Amino acid sequence: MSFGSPWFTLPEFTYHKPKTLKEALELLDKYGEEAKVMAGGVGLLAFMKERLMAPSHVIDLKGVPELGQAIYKEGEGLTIGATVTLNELARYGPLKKFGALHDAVRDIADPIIRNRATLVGNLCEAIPWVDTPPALIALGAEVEIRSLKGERRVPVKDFIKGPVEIDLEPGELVTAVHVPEPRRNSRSRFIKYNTGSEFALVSVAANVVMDGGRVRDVSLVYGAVSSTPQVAVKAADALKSAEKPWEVLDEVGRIASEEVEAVSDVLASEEYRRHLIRVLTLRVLREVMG
Amino acid sequence: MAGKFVGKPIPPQDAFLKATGTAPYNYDIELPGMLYAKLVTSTVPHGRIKRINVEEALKVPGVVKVVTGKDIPYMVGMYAGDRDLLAIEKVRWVGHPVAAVIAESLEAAERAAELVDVEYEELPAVFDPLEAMKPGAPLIHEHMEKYRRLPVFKPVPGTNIANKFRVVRGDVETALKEADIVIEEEFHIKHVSHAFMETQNVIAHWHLDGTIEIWTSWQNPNPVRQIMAESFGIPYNKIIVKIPFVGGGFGGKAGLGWEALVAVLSREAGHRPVKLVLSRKEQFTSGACREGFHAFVKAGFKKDGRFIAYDVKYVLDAGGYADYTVNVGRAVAYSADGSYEIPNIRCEAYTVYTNKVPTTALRGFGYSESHWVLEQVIERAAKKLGMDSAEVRRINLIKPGVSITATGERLREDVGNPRKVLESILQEIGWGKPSEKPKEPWKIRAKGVALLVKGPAQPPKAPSSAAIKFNEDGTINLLVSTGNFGQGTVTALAQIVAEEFGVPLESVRVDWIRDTHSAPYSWQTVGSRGLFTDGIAVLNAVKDAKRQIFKVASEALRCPEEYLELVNGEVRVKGKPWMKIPLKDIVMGYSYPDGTSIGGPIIGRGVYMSVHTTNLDPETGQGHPTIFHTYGGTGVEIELDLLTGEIKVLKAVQAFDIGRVINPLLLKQQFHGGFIMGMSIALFEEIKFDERGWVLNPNFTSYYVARIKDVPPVVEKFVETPQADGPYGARGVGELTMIGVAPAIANAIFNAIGVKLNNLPMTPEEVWKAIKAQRPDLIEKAVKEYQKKMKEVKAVA
Repeated sequence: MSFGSPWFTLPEFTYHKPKTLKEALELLDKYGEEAKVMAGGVGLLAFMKERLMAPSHVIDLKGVPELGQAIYKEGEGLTIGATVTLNELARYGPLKKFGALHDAVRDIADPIIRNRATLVGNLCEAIPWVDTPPALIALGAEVEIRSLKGERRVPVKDFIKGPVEIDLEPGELVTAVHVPEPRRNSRSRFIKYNTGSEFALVSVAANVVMDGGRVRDVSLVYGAVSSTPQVAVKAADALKSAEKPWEVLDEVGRIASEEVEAVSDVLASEEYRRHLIRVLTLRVLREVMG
Repeated sequence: MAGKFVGKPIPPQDAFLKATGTAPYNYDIELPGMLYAKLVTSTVPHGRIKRINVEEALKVPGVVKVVTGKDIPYMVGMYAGDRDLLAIEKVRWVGHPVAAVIAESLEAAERAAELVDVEYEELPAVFDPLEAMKPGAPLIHEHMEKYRRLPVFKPVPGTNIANKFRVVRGDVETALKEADIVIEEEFHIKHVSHAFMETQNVIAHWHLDGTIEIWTSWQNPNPVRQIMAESFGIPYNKIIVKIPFVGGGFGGKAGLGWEALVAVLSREAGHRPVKLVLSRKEQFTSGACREGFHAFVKAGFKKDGRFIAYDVKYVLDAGGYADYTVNVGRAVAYSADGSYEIPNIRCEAYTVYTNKVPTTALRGFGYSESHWVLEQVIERAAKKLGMDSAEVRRINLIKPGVSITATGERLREDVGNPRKVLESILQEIGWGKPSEKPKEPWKIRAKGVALLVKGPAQPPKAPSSAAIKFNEDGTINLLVSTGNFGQGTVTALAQIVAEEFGVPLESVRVDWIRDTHSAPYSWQTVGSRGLFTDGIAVLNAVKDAKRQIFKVASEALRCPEEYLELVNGEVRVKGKPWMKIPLKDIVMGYSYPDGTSIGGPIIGRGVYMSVHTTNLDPETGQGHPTIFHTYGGTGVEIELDLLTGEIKVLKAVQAFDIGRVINPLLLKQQFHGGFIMGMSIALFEEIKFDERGWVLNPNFTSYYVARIKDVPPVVEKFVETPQADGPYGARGVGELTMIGVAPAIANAIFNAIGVKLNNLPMTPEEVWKAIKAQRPDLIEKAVKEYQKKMKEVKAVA
């Protein structure tokens, strides 16, 4: 996928700004596939400028108050509404409990973009190299979806189906993302490698539950390596089964670099990506296990 | 000696308007009744246009006209003359403009442009210049012999070679045989963008009386006028080119632009003004960038370090048209010897068409490429000879007044002091002293140096002129047409005028609009020449104005001119400072108490004409190409992460013999800006193409330009060896500050681990690949070190 539009102007569309969730859902129901929702507009407007999307109706969610809140409840976790911006979230104290998400949110693009862009928007763009999905998957987050017909919850891992493809039917709206309370003795981090690039060439989120000197559970999720975030199962197993996990970190990185799907694109070759997976695995495990 | 203004760190005159966001750039300008143009561009790399269907586009409300190449079959250009305004019959790259929609609004123009339907018959395309040079390659310009080019350029009709240029001195074959060691290498550079903030944009108004008014974001108005007048056969005085503030040029706004096209669109649209603004993507795909580059070298050295033979072939990937790049092909060849005297040299440069985006000048063109090669050759030779590379440089450095360059030019005595430049870099960077060990054992630190020299690449006749016009109150309007797109030249010129007349700096104004009608002629603003050439023109204008002023004052004060002096804005009798007349009472004519008056409004005029520059011999390239040579160099200390291939510059030193510092503040800014641009191109920048010639990264998210976080501290070293014919002894330096950065970085890596980095850019991936191919053990060792360190950290915790 290449970005860069010859156009200065957007395709024509009708703009709606509902004031309640009900009104938003009714508009979505009415216009179905012809409608797109907008929060910060960072992704949508860029897609429209590229003519990759040309919705006849744009439904701006910023007028719906209940979508603009991030709420943390001890023991339950963190719920982030659809119009909560990355900077609002970054400033929300309890986010620190969710290390990987905290890392990812604070380092996306630049402060100006983070003032507009939302977490839910970042997730729903489902561009392969966006930062928050690997962190959300490593933390076991779920997407809350509403429509006039009802509501459902989908794990983020299943919500992203392909590049720019999500599990969302016409008429449905992602109202929030829910991140469960971190497990005891767990620690999570997200790091990315983006030297000489705006986007990550490779990113990784790790969520580890330590038990004495051993790793009881671990989730390793890689972003920007392929069309969807990649979960490294074999690498995680190797780490869990090691009696001395500190001795096998490079081995874990090697396994991960071989088992996940990785592609060549304009940012990096597959070969280099696999090498970076190995290196970033070392780095992220050093962070979460240290 | 510093004067009152000359030599002082004076902020640029346009800083206030720029910092407050109120400076008017061309992009901001709108004319009454203005229409908007949008380009429709080719989607195939090489093809015949079978049909262009504009019916649907014409139905869009607000559309005035859709123009295609057939309607306006002009060929234009500055050097090679190989460009059509819109594709005529065939397209030569993906992005080649095929049609232009003109409409009442930008929205309408864009809607309609989407609806123009073009059918192509695809032709075999060629993307690699080495392939394109071979017999039987698809021909991109079948009739290049018919183009209206400058006679110094030599295309090879029947091939894709837009220009072939040779420099031959001595006997390179024999010398290579006599050499004790021979270095044989190839080097490659990818296409890069100028990445100026303001994309190219033009407003043109072809008035009913035939006057063509142009507003454009360009470096200098005169070349714009020249290209249009020569291409259309229109008298020069009917074309008025105006240039307001310019958001960056870097050579990309020096050659052929969009003015001729937009002027014709204005005529076609019923003589209404038309504006064309390129989007960033269009700038990447339809504008011109820096060429791709390939070099194949053999270099012979004697055991004692003498560089005796240099045999080089350069191939430049010029893209679909090569208008300015034919000149890049000359500069790269006649600069092959850099700061060294090499007695035997043979250098051939081919500028070759391919079905990729067109190319043009970019800051330091030709010289960046030749030094990327040469300065690494020196480093490799030193290692092979078992010598310190600084010593190899010392041994071969030119000697002022004695040495002969590759083009056979004997260097003047006051050409500059490259030895002092080299020593100041070595001292500042701590050459010979090992770097401090990084805390992370998987990283290494290293130092590298590159020297360089550059003069303006220009024809032998490239004059400048200036006028000084006084106002009623004694303030001064300085009229020049040299461009002001960030360098600060006009501030320096104003300093010179204020210094010479002894008036406050605020009394000297250079207007922010450059125009061909009221400003005196200046050939081009390129090649770091503005301060040198226009500075001399300004000094001559000062002299001329003073002569007129003294003549009037002499009569008024009843005193011979030789006893008068100009101090603090007053003409005084030497030794009798109370006998004086303020400038304001002279510059509009002097009036006696009874009202009778003498003299009249003062206008000083001055010119610059290049001295001793000649054409170069078409077979051997021998001759005198430049008006000055500025010597300089860059030293860096870098840190390399062996795990990722990432290079970080920790410290940089920039040293240049600029002859005389006119404004140290602006000079430092050039040293810093040039370093950042050079580092960005060295480490990050590359226009990527797919196998069908599409640009894959036409934007600033995947075409990465250095950010402030990437920038190290830069130390500036001014060396001042005044040149007799420069203004106050000054030489040009603007472009030069970026040229040495890339080879200095590559040399640092080679010094430290012996890994050769022959290709630009040196992205982490490219560096990692080079290490993996040449020293894979280093990467595995780095991983082990990393693990070891982690365990240590764990143990402490």
